[in-house]
Amino acid sequence: MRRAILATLLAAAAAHAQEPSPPPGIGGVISGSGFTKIKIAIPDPTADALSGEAAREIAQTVRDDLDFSGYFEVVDPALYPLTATSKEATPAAAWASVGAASVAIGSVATSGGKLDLRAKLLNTAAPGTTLFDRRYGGPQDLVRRVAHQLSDDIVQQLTGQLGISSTWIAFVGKHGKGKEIYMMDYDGRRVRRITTTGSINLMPTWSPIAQRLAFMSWRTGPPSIDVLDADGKVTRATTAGGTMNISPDWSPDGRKVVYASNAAGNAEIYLLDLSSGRSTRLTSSPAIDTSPTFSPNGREIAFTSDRAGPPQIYVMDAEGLNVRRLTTDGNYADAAAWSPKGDKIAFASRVEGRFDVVVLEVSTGATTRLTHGEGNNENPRWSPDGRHIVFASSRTGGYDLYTMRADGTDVRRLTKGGDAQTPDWSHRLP
Amino acid sequence: MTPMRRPFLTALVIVAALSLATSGCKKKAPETVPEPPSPPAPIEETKAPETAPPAAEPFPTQKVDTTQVEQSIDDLNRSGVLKTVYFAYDSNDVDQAATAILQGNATWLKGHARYNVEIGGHCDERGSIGYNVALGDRRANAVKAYLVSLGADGSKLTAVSYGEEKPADPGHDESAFAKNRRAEFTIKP
Repeated sequence: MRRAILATLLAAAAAHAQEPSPPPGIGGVISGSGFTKIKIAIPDPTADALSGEAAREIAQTVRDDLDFSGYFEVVDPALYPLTATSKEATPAAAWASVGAASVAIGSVATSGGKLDLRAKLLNTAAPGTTLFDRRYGGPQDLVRRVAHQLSDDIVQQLTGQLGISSTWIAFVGKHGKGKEIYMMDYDGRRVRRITTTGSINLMPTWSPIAQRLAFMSWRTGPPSIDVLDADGKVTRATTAGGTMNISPDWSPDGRKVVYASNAAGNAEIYLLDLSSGRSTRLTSSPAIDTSPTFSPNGREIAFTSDRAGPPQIYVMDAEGLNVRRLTTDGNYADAAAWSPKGDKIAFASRVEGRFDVVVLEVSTGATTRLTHGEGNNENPRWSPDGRHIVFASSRTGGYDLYTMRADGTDVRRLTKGGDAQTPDWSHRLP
Repeated sequence: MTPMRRPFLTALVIVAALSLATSGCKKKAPETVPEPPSPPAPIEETKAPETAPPAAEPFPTQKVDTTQVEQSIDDLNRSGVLKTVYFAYDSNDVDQAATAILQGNATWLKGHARYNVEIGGHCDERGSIGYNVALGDRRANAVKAYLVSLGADGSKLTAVSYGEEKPADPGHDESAFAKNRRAEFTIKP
């Protein structure tokens, strides 16, 4: 395992912005539906002799982040030079004249391998208000992380919502004859491999409270559950026994892991208390019960069962009682994922031999198909703000990861080649 | 695992040789492999005894060539003494064709009870990754249960699912799928 990588990333995350006290914002302007996108300009920060490339990368990263968020319309950078020759009385007015309601103006300097970014967010409406003025620092090679922090601050300042630009996506990719765990930034950049087992590993899932991943691995023989910590340490979870312990998912407090095991003969759902190492069996049926996942409030567990024929999604109380069937969509359903609010469940539904991502509204049972038969579309997982879904699709032949808005629009490809599958979107960094 | 292998195998060979030497004290040395009680015919019976020293050889005092022994387990796997069985789509039923094959496999297993054998359960790629791991487990365990019902020693058989992760045929058509829905056997050192 590569200890250094996660540790470095965490160190970088800790090197957070030195924040002056936040000025009064205009938060909440776009809460509710049917909002107008905020028009924002992100010119390249001014740069010292060492920082020209960093300045361009920061600006482009922030533009991409804000565009991805769906809250913003980024004013075309081709218009930015007009502000320099503008006859407007103030810089804010000049930015307003090219259509920007907000602008982030920055400067970057590099010394001793460290990046120092100062960024001011302005509301361009007269008289022109400074919304924040912050400094961000970090190692030179983590310029994108610095940019993502600025993006999240802009999102929070102008929308009142927490951004997702600093989040990660874990997934599996082909490596040699095996499949290893990888992670990347939410935008598909900075891909790095974090296991070196030479074996098959699948379905990484982020702990909701820490930088920990649980996943299933064949590295020692039969599939078992491993937990990878931020320092690179791998711990084999104590499971119920048998020769198959698979599909781990965390309880919302990060203290328990729900999984499927054949300890009692066939695949049943178990709940492991990590502190005691004790597992409790939750299901009891001669059918396959697998792919369990906790609701965000921890009260329910959705899972896949073929007790009534082809696999479908069921839900039960966290104690294993009150099992009821949730899906009747298509002839085969698996890979349930609760939205962060718990009001929706995304899953993969197969119709006529192909999987599509479908979202089910829990209160009504109403389903909406988000993808439409372009290859297989599987293993959906939500972004921590519930506005996006990452999924694996074979629409170009091999599997790649894609994101889309929670309504199925704005599909973006994150990976190219490498047979990327079973993604999971991290929670926000602490 | 690897450091364990040599001494373990050496021990195996010595045990095998010892039992042969002991039985050699009686008038007639028995066959190293007892005849199976009933057809179907044993598969490649002639190859199997490679692992044990010839009956004529006395108690081996000289160093046992473990490399040779490891090789022969690989040979056993390569020569396919235990035959792969196939499944219908989304099914773990041991059908008639599989039954005939497994009867042969059970005969071999009963004659070679010292071997640990992994039964790998596999699926074609059309199901979901997660469910397929559970389905592969059900296939491997269905095969194991049938072999045990035929008298094979269940404690020597380990059912391991590989889901859709290790296709025998990398193709994406029905003929590849049919080859990938399988339970295959690996003799373990």
